[in-house]
Amino acid sequence: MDSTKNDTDTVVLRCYDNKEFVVPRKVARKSVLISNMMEDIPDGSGAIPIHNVRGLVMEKVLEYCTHYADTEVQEDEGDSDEEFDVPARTIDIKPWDAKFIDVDVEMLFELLQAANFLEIKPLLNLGCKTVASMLKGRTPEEIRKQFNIPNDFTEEEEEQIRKENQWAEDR
Amino acid sequence: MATAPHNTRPSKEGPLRLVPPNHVPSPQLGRTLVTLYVPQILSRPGSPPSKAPILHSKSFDKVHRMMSSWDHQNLDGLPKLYTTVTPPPTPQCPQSPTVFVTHRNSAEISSLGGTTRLPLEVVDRILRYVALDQDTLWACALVNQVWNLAATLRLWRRPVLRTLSTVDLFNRTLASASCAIMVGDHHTVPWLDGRPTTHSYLDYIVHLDFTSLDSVQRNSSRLSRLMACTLRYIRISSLQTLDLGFCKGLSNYHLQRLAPQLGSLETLNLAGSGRQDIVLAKLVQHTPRLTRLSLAWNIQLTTFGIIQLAHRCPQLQYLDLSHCSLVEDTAVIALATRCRQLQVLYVSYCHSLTDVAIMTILHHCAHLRVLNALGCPGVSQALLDEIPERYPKLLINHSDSIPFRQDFDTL
Repeated sequence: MDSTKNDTDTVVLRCYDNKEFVVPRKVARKSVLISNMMEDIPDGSGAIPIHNVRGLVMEKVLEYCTHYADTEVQEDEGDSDEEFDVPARTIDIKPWDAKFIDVDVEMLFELLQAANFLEIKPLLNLGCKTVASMLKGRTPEEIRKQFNIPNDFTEEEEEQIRKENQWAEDR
Repeated sequence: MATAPHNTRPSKEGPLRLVPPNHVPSPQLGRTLVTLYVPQILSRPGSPPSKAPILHSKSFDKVHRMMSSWDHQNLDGLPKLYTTVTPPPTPQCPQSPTVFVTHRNSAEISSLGGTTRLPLEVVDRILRYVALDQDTLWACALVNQVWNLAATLRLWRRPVLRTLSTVDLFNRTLASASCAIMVGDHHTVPWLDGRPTTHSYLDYIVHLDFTSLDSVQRNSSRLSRLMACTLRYIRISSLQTLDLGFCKGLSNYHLQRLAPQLGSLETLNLAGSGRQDIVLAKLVQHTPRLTRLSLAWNIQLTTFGIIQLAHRCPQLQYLDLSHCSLVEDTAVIALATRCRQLQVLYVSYCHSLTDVAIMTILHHCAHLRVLNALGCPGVSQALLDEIPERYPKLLINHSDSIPFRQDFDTL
């Protein structure tokens, strides 16, 4: 399919809870997954099913994609996919992004999963940076509480992990 | 519509606003779509990960490879971890739209009370941004199983050991992990209260940095014994970076004996640690892959040692010889002819150098981009003045020379 020809055209995305979105193709193309689906599905064969993103999250995702529809998001240190070991020294979030990602934890985590599933790397990186910036200086208990993560360790497991990583404790 | 997602692909309903009136999507097409895309969305637990592809996910594959590298170690841990990242076989779409089906089974949903779980690949991506923050990584390792896996890999990748007693603690965990491997059955290996280690830590260590020790500890003779112990356990094939800057506590004798353990080193800092020619000569026999080396402030090093280096380490890109005042032109000429990849060379305060050394380096090393030759009385000002014209891209005697540590990741 000629990818430029249809850029003014729209595509329908159907979410998990049957909410539907009519989206310009160039916005939808921000997602690698949807982009691939559009390549494979002939024109006009109906809505593209996005089974594991609910409408409310999709709305937010599309807000991001629309904002960046015409611009490529620049990669920062640590954003690269290639190397496991390119550590980021600083976490830099642009003003619009910061405002966009200022949501509750549940939404933030769902956005992360949606960005991961839909393969919208800049959004995934943004979410990851946001979570990372909230981790600094926290204890394990605080992190669990903040992000509502259940502790699935047994007492013995937890004690052992503490022992094995005792050298890293800042005491 | 409250049916399971794998048969929800509607061929007759849904908005057909974009569909030309004469075009009716065939049910066959609908079915094809389902088989094409459902595996990406719903992988099945219990089946090996290769059969449950989560496509388009390089990072997941990466973590996967890492996990499979220690599964001989952690046969108990693995299946457990997989169930936390793989979704249930045929999730029922619940009526409540707030629940995220594909990452949990129903039992988990009730216990989680609406929490959304992040998959391992996403947690790992989050931790990229705190990879240099040891305290945060430590805390993350204690959050839950998935976070532990992601954080441990990063925490142990570049451990920063702040005191000699932490080096000792570190060695104890290594010793325990190493026993577990040697015995082959980690259940039988005692670890303090009789438990095996949870990870194959030996394989994780890539960067080792002893420069966070304070100056008393860096010069303590205990360092020799402790480091010998650390390096004995670490996998030779994984250790790429060793920073021993100003660690005089590690004797030349001990460093020489440890040399065979350093075969994979790419970056080595020996600045200000009182190293002599003989230890350098022995060391470089074992480190052919060395690309970055700092020998600054080793005032006993002479031309002999540097010539050995030039012969053994042809891949050098970064070399700091600042304040090695006994090094002569012959040494730099050997480097120029042998180490053609050199990009950064510091020879400031090498009092014996002359114009010949500088001109040879410039002539042979086409990739050179930084050259510092401050405080060399034998190097004429006329030559230094001429360089910017003839080599406009080269940074010469630039005021803030790049510290060794910072250049690690940017070179």
